[in-house]
Amino acid sequence: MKIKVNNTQYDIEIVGDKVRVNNDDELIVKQLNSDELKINEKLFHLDFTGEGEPSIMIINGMVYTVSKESPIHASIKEIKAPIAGRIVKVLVDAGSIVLKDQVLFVLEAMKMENRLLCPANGKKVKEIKVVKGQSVMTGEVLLIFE
Amino acid sequence: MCSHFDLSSLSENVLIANRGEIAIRIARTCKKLDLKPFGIYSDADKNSLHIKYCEKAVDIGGFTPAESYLNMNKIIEAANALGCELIHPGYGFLSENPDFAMHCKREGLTFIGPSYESMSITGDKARSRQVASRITSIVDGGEVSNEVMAMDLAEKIGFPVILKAVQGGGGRGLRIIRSFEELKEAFADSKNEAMISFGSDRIYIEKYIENPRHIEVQVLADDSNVIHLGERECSVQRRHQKLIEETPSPVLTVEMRNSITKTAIAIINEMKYTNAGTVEFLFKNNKFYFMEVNARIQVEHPITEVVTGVDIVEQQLRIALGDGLMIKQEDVKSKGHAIECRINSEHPLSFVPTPGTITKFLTPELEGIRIDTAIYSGYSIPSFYDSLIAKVISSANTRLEAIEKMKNSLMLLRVTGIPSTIPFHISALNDARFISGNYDTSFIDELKPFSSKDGEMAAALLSLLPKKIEFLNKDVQEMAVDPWAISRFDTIDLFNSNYNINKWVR
Repeated sequence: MKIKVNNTQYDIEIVGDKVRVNNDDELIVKQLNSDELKINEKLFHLDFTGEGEPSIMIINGMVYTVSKESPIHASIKEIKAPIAGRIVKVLVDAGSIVLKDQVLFVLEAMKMENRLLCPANGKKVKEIKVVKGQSVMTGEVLLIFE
Repeated sequence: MCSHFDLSSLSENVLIANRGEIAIRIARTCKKLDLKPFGIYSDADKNSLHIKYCEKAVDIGGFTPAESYLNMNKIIEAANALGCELIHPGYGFLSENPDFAMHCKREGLTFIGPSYESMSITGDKARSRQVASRITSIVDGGEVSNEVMAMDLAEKIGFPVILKAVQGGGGRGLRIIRSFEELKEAFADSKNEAMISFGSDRIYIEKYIENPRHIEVQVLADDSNVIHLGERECSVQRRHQKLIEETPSPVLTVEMRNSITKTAIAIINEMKYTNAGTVEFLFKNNKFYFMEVNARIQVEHPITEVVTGVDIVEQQLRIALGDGLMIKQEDVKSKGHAIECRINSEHPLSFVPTPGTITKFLTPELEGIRIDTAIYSGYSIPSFYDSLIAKVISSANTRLEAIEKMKNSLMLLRVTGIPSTIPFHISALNDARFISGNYDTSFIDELKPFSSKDGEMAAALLSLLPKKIEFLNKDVQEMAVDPWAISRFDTIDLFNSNYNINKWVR
């Protein structure tokens, strides 16, 4: 995930309960509430999120501007596995047009079945990179759109 | 300090003709003095906390100030219905309206504030300038009744000039004019605006002092004595509205302080003014210019209270009750330093007022921190009144300690669900100009948002909430995340923003 905070780009990768930032620091993140996080034991509280692009956030009394392009405008080229697991269902074929929120894969991870949905309407599937039953790693590309 | 007089024999009921934090503040002192506080509230304020601090409060109806807290008849009626003999107007609303003071007098009610006569002077900028000019420097200028007069006067004193309503106040309706063309354009508009806002179209012009400091002196006066409680530095402003105040002023020498407080007392004497008041000055190049007298308790009065130990509301009540001032000048001993930050429900960068519901309000319990507020978790801020929701006051032996304490308390203070000016304050308190004390009313123009690097990381992660990272550290069985929500950000192109985050809008 790439997020721009106060004009600084952050590349965030979530691996289990650790978060890797810019392929470098590994942070221990604990979520206490919907608005409280502990990063390496330091507490952060979110008091306000303002709509807009960029949006603003007030955290520990300080203001941050946060930019992430809305998914509608994003040029999404592929689907990656959000967590490591096993593909239990492949529900599309190469060449088919898929709709927003259509289920593409079912990924079993940590004893849970997770449905991976299509992000936008009218996407054409170019290639499917996995088969049913295959184990995948976090971030592994599962499908490529045209 | 003032316990040697006993008011408990009196059974006066006090009507607090105000709302919000100041109504609560006044009610506290009433109770301390065994006076009974009574209240009023509008239809928009049915859930206001100040009602709970009163013995009883009556619904005077209405939503807008004009329908409620500015409606003299409704307020007098409420006072009579509640058996109140005293009326405390707080600040804003009717607090500086001489007609209200007169109205109270006619009804046999004691208005807690100066007399009708003094308020007629303080409320008329042309008259108060004239009275003050007998004592101290005032900025060049005068009242002008038409455009030709305005042009002549502007030529004489030189641009830039400022146009103000004679009956105006609170920094509203000021216009800075830099040329004859601008003056020609603005004059009629200013007259109209003054009429609409203040009920009088009288206008005066004075030389505009660019980027001065704004320093005021707190005074207390009865019929025979006038004392001062030191000065307050109020130069951190936006749109002529104060945001941070501190006492003592970091810029005054002992000589300057003696001079400005002496001048303030002389002006108050000259106006035959009684009760609590504030004499405001502009300060530029080591010279003071009288600006105006504020005939009310001010928003920023707590900083003076915490350094002097004097309860200003108590003095107001005692003066109004005819007991006179209970303290002499030599009793006033200022100790340490105090700072006030005004927390407004406003966008932290643009200062656009934003009413809404406060989902969480948590205040830190820290020594040396006073918080005057009327909000609570679950409170909805009505859109009809001003945006001030809390005042945080820090005090310590030294200025730097007071700054540190304020920073800590603001980082711990939680006002959730609405935007607030807390980030502005933290930025200001971290600004080198503020820390050195070397700032003036242009402070905000160069202010940059202050934030921390690890906070940026928190922002990035929190922006993925609610569902995006909620599987972190949760029990496996509970995990119900929509994985798409995570993966969809992987391929986002860099968003180029032209949003200017580096400047506060004045």
